[in-house]
Amino acid sequence: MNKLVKAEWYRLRKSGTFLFYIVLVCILCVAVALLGNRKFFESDLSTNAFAVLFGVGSFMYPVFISTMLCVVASMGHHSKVAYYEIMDGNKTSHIILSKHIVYLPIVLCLFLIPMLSLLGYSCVKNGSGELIDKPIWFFILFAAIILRIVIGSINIAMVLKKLVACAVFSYGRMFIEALAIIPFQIIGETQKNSDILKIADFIKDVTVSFQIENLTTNCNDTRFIVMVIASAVFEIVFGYCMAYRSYKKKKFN
Amino acid sequence: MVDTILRLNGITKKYKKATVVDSFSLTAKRGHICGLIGPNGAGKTTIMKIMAGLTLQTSGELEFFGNKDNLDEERKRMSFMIESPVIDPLMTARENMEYVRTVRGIADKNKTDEILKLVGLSDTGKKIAKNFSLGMKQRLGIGMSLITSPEFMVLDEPVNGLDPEGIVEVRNLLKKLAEEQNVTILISSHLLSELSELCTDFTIINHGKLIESFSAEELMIKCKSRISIKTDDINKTAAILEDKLGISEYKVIHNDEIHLYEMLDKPATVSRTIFENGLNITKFVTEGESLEEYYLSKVGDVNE
Repeated sequence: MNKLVKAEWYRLRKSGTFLFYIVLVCILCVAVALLGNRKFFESDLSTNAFAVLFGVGSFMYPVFISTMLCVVASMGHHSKVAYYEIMDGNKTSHIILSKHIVYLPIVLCLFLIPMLSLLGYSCVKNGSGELIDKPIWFFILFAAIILRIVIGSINIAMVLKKLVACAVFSYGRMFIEALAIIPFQIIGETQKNSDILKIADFIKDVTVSFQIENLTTNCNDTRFIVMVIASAVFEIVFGYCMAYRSYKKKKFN
Repeated sequence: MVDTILRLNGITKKYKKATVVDSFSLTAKRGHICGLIGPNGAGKTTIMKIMAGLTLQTSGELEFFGNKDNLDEERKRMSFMIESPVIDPLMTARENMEYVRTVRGIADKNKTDEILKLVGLSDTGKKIAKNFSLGMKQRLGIGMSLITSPEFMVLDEPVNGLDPEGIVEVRNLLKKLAEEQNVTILISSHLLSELSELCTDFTIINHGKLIESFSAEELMIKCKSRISIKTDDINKTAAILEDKLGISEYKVIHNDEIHLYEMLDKPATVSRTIFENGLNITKFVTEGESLEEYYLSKVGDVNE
């Protein structure tokens, strides 16, 4: 698998300027999170720092990162050079994992770790505020969501394989999630049907956009913690299985 | 050492209701150059994709180097150039070559320079592949398939887009690989004259079905000489040949020419007989059939 990791890293560095764009998007996301929330630097922070940094719309950061990753990861199929990995008779699991090994550390180093470091700094300086009793859970859940998004995007790229499909799917995913809940809420509330409202709540619990939105308020809730971790594990495993199946069925055009 | 490098047995590929390859079988011996000939949509590329592991056959069996259980392991000894050359358009020739060298786990870094020089792309510098001519892309694709020093090469239209000099270079290179290094090559091309000079074996495929397989020696016999005759009345000529000389092996081409496959050693008798029966001969030539003509006659027969 070592050679596959090296080859993917080589392709990422040499093929166009994609690595530059991934780095740029990650840095911009961290910078915008900071610059857009000046209160974060104030020592007399009345609300908690987490809520400041993860205000409404902050789920856009992972959207940009996942779209970028998904597009870059699908470029190998777009130019068909990814065929060399298959024609060399490599194991499917090695091909998929090599992509995760290349892209994951980039996002960890350039987005996840800087964001968590900033929050940690704020936590030490100002305290974690009224909303969060145990900030450690916030850190764990945020990491789980980011891992879910990053690995999920790479898996999607390997399933869809088409550049445009990858871009549209990964960019539109969270909007689709947000829209999916509306019909259940409307029907549930108009018909006073608690079962349908339960479905709406379940969708809220498992979708990334709502998880990020509720991260600062619900991260002490055991049910929320379980749902975030379980949905992350499910999406990662399910995406891997889909990518594996797609490669095993050998549908390469 | 295994002598039979490739064995395809009853390969069938169906896409929904369409059968693209139908019970196709093929064998390739070590050091042979096998030409796969067929019209567009005959199933040549699909067969090559099945061999490369890029698509699954619906039924049938593949065997590489005598092994049918672990094909992926045997694919490491092979190289493929299928459809257009698979290259990253945003990388230079050297970077593309380096990428394949890395994917295929070749430790020798000098191999890249060696192959670039061999395919005449060592001076392309920082020019990215997107800006290459079709011929340069073909050369790069061939180079990328050579970097592993494969024992078996599968090449789909490798000389497509090459200039005449390039075609001769590729032909000589492939011949050299087969003769000196015993490399087996499966090649498809629309340039049948090129294949006839290069290949040791031929397989004709049409509508996904195997039409015929034969060696170069067998082709020589099949493309036996003939006498081409044109007269002012071709139907009367045919009748005279049948009645007076008892000839049955002939073909009327486009209703104005007869190809005669008998009495090749007695052209004077044939011409005298036609002339004595009051016909004017406008063409009387002894000639041979090329691979192209033979292929067209076989594919034409099937289509009819």
